[in-house]
Amino acid sequence: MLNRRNFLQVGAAVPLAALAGEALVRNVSAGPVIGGKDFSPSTGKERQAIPSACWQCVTRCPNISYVEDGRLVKIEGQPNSIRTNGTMCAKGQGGIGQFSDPDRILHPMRRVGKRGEGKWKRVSWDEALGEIAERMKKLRDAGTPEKVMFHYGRMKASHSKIIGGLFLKNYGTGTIGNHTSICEGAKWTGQEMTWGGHYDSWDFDNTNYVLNFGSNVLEAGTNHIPTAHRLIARLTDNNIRMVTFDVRLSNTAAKSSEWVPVKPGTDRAVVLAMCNVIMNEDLYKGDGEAFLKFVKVTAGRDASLDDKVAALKAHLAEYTPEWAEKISGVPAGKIRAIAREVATVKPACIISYRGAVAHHHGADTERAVQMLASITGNVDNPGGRCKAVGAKWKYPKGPKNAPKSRKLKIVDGLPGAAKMPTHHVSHQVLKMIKDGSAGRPDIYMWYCYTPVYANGNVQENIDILKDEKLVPFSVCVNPFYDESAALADIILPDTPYTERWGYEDMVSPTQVPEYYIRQPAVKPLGECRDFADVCIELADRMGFPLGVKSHEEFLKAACEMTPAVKAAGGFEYMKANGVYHDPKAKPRFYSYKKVVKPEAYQKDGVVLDPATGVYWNWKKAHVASEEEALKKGYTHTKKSYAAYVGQEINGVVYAGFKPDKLNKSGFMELYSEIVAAKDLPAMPSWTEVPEHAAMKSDELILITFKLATQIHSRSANCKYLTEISHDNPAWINPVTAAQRGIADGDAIKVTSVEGELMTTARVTPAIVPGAVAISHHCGHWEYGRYASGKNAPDGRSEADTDRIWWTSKGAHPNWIIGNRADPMSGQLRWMDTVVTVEKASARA
Amino acid sequence: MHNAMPNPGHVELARSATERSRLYGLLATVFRREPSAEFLCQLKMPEMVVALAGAGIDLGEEFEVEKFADLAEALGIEYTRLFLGPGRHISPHESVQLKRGSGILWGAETSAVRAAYRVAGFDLGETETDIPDHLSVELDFLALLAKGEAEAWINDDQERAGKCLHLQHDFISHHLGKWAALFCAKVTEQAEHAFYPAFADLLRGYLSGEKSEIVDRLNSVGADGRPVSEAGTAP
Repeated sequence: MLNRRNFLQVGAAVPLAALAGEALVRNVSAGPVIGGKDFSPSTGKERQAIPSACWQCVTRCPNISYVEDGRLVKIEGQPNSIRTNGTMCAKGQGGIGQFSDPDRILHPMRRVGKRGEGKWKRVSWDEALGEIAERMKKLRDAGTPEKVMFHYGRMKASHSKIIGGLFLKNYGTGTIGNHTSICEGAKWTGQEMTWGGHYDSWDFDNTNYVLNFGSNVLEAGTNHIPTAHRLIARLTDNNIRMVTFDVRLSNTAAKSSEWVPVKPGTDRAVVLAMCNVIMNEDLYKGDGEAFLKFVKVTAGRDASLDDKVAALKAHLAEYTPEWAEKISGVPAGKIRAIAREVATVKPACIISYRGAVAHHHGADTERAVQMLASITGNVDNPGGRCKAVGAKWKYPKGPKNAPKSRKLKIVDGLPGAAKMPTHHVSHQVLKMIKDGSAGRPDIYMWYCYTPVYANGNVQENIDILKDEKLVPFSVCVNPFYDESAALADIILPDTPYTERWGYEDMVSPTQVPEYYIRQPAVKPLGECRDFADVCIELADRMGFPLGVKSHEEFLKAACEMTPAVKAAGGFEYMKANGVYHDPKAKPRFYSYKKVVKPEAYQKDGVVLDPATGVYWNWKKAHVASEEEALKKGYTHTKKSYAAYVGQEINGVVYAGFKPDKLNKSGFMELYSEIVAAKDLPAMPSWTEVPEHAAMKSDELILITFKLATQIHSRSANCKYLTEISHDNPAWINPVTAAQRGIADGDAIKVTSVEGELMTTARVTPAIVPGAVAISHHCGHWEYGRYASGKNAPDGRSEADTDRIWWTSKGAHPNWIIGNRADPMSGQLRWMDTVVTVEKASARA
Repeated sequence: MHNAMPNPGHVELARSATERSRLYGLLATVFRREPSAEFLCQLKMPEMVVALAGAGIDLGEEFEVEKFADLAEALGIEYTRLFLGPGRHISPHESVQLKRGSGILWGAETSAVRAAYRVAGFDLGETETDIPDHLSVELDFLALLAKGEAEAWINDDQERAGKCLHLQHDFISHHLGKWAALFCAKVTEQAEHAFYPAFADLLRGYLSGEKSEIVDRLNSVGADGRPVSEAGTAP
């Protein structure tokens, strides 16, 4: 009987000479195609591959956009990116929906009914910009440019330089709001208090241990994919341990070696207790001890190592694991064990995010995490928590005679809201407009932002934006009709990121900078225009040309002006390749250890501040004389941080931890006189969330989170993403649910002092008792058919509305979350809201 | 070689094609953007009123005015609400409207429409902001094809005329005819003024018979391009 072996024997017997010769199919590349190319499944034709960049979330990963027959058909990762290594998240791939959303706004619109009534008329760009320019010019000519308020959500790199650095600067308004306070402002403020310029980069490639406080790094975050894919690789390839403290079993917690459930708002207690263990058990010795040289833990700057150790031990003495257990619910033994691990496994990467910092005194939690990283010697080292490294583009700076900006003091929150809002309190801007005590803008213009939906107190936001006495004229720059656009006077149709230019500079976890650009995959649809180009035209109309004609021209110039990019081949190289990094560059670690050359600190204008040991350039700080500079001192001179040169430590001048936004020294300041001067704790300390301290027995803490498939508020119009994630039942622990007679899938009512919302219960042990969790992204009432379920007006179906099989659009938690601020940083306290939860039928 | 005087049958066919071209052109204008007061005024010219009435089109009482500025403003708002949004609207794009189509803006249907333009020797200008499968662009395309057909008949270029007819037939069969009727029904239901339903009815009514009309037209022309009725008598 013949079998497979018989056939193969024939093959073995064939003499080579009998074969036809060379195979007809040949290799045309060095190996299998793993990215950067794509082919039409119907025609087999190679699709046009356009290197570009994402703009779904702030990570802004390089991408490849594929175009077939003039149509954007696919977006995937850029295989040549050292940040992403070709990986791309669902949000980035689903970004194709930004291009093809059938509810896109394609023309400028002006409202013709009452504000918010939904009655519009198309206007020409000429008409729209004519009106805006006339109104803006009038205010500028009257010497009140600050009466134009510009509020942005996502504005980075070249967009920021053109819109903010050129247009708004030369116009003269400093009334500029951002959205960092609803992201992670507390984290950044905590870093500015300690190591200066904000942003921590996590070196997962080289780490042997990850300790995570409240970061959902595998699903979201400011450097999501570049870090997430590295973390997964390290966890699986090297079997390192990762411990995640979180209220919820996030997918990050689930992929960790261990999830440690923690009561909301108590991470800091755990961190402080770990610091206590490490100091008391002398586990700081070694790398931590060596690093203490660069750390400030006492008043003054001359403390010896022994002084520092003693100060730390004294400060931490009360924060025992047993004490922390009572507060956090984490067993003392667990805290001890993990403290010992993180102190002894080298290197360890200690990470944190909103789960830990979007609380009352969230900035102090970040300071505590900095303390833990410091005493274990895991700061700016391979495998640790590092200073960020990103591309440094050079670019046209525009006119040299920019006016001195004037601003309304409405971006830092209500009086007394926050003592050190280094990233502003922009979620309270509308409250400040309502308050009126610091003045009100005549024009409120927002860009890539949705003030109604993204902040808390949704109803109040609506009421204020609708009120023409409070907001006389409003302009929304947006490709989509979201909840805020619905309340504008004029809508300018921006291009989605699939149709615009830009250079990008986001942080590289390899510690080697990556330069990359965004270019249009297709030409803008309809009359959509990149708002950077619109700003250039507005400046022309108002008579202060910015010196560039378009965003594309600005980008070309930047490519020529940036040495690394120019050497690589400039604009043409970037258009063809999308990304560039210097293959010979070495990763940047230990930047604080760099010794400053004498010529830098002996330069004319540079003086030593005896109190802090900081060398600073008083001329650069605009001080009148050296005498005045010495008299006033570094700390008390306005914005002297910008004139920082180096930090003297034991007779050597180091680059140190360069300050930003605060006049701190070049030490890692775990003890801060600047913070203490604001009547806040000089060192990271425990303070309970006031509302939590006053909770009644039947109350719960509401927390929010993000999914891997949606960004906070600007992706629900993407059909693939919303098909995947269109509902967000409230997570509630079985014990907590049982106490309220709630079963899985029950309709429930969640009530806070701000209001109530209806949703369904997801009863799961994947959340600690006493908390309830609702994700963001859902509950839209505008934003097109996929997000809001709003069909074509007559209810007749269109092809894609027929396919919307889901009936729920979820619940938006922001209706019942107040726009409260962390009193230190101004961060919106997403995770502090006290609520009651009951079965909806209980009241019916 | 063509005769100096065109074939009389071709003159009639040219006249018919020109009429069709103008009708498509009118509809393209109506659905392209908000009407100007001047345009509305032209619709009220006596011969236009008669022609529209003959086609069963009643523009309503609101046309019984001397000046059209207010009506133009009102119809501008109506146009925006119906076809532009922002928010809920009746997208005037084939890819969004086509039953069981892609449903998205610039879908595969849009590329197919653009390919049809290119096959016929047309394309959208570089600076054109309309999307290829916008209703008015599709109507524009048919207007150009009908115009080309008319010119061909005048020049006794029956091969080219036949090709223009085939292209019209194919485009209506594969594109406009597959989605316009449903679109027009939505317009009729949603409009607050009589204007857009009137032209939607005109478009729907005309297109409903146009495919068979084209077939008849093609069948009535002999292999040499002359009308069949004349074929036997030609010298």
